[in-house]
Amino acid sequence: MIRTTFGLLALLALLPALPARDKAETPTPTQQYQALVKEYQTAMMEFRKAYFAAKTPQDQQKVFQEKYPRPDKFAPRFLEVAEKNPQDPAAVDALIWIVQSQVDTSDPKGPRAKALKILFRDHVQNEKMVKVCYRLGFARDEESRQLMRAVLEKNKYRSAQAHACLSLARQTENRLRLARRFKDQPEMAKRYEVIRGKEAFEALAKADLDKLSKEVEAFYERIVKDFADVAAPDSGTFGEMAEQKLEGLRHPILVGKPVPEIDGEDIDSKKFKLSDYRGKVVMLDFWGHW
Amino acid sequence: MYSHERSLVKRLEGKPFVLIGVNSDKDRAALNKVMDKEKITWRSFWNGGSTQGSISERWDVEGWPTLYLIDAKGVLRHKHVGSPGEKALDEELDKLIAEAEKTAAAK
Repeated sequence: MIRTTFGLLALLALLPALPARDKAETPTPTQQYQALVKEYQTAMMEFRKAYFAAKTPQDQQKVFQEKYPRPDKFAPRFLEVAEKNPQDPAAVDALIWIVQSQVDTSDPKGPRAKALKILFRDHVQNEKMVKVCYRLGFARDEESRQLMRAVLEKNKYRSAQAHACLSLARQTENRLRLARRFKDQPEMAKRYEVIRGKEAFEALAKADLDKLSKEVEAFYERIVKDFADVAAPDSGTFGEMAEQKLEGLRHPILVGKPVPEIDGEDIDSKKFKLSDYRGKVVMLDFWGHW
Repeated sequence: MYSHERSLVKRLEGKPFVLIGVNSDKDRAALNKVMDKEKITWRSFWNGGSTQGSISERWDVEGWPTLYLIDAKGVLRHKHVGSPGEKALDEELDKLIAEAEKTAAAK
């Protein structure tokens, strides 16, 4: 009898303590965010597989319609995570996902517009704001401009500031390019007015091109002055890139004029110059394999 | 994908012509593999591994590919954002090469 009890006690002592499960576990905001990211990535992988397996353009179109993970379906779910947990670290991640996605930029009531508002309100000082700067460089809306301005002026991380400054420079330059095209291609200007509305059209049609041009330069000059040493995307520094850009703005390469020198490296890191080929006709091909 | 470039290099061998790339890919090692596979034999400048690199900034490149046709004296004669098509390029290049050969012969 004693032996059996002892054996039982010994067995009980060996059993691991079981945790108390008094309620169902709800995923944390971070877990919710990560689950959404995984769901999106999985859907994207499945789409790509099916797309490459499709034999005809019609099949490809069908696969696209049926399987492409739509950002406008995912964005509201990311927004919900952010709106329900505004103080949680996952909120900024969810908002950044929305801004980085291909969700429609023109809807002033859509998830992207809401995400920009919340980022402007709560996250201007966050180091992670660097992640939206490249995408917002292509944006045309005022909210994107305000957000980048706020990051440039208020964020304490110089990398975020530098990226935001570049984003503003590119936004402004895109407006300048579009305004110039309006003058050269009135047909295209008319179409723009029809699609985007009178207000958006007039903002560009009546733009002072010289003023815009000076604004672009001012952003690059600011980069050279305040952020020269910050590491640029991929390689080199912001200063090097901005100085080359300013040179390009001030001494544009025009048909009928001599071209500047290129003093660089090839893919094997060997130095060479464009002027090495003087005396030959050169086709200079800016390319990438993507 | 690079068949016209390869054919240009072949067709214009021995003529005063050179095709030079400026490449914006991210990764040099991966690019070397691509160049082997696609038989890209002409030289390319490295644009710092991005589309925001120093060379493309200086040359005001906003779309890829962008082609600059420069004559033998170093003057820009044509700029194309996107290829204007093989025929147009061949015509433009042949004209510039004929010009270069004439200048060289006159010396």
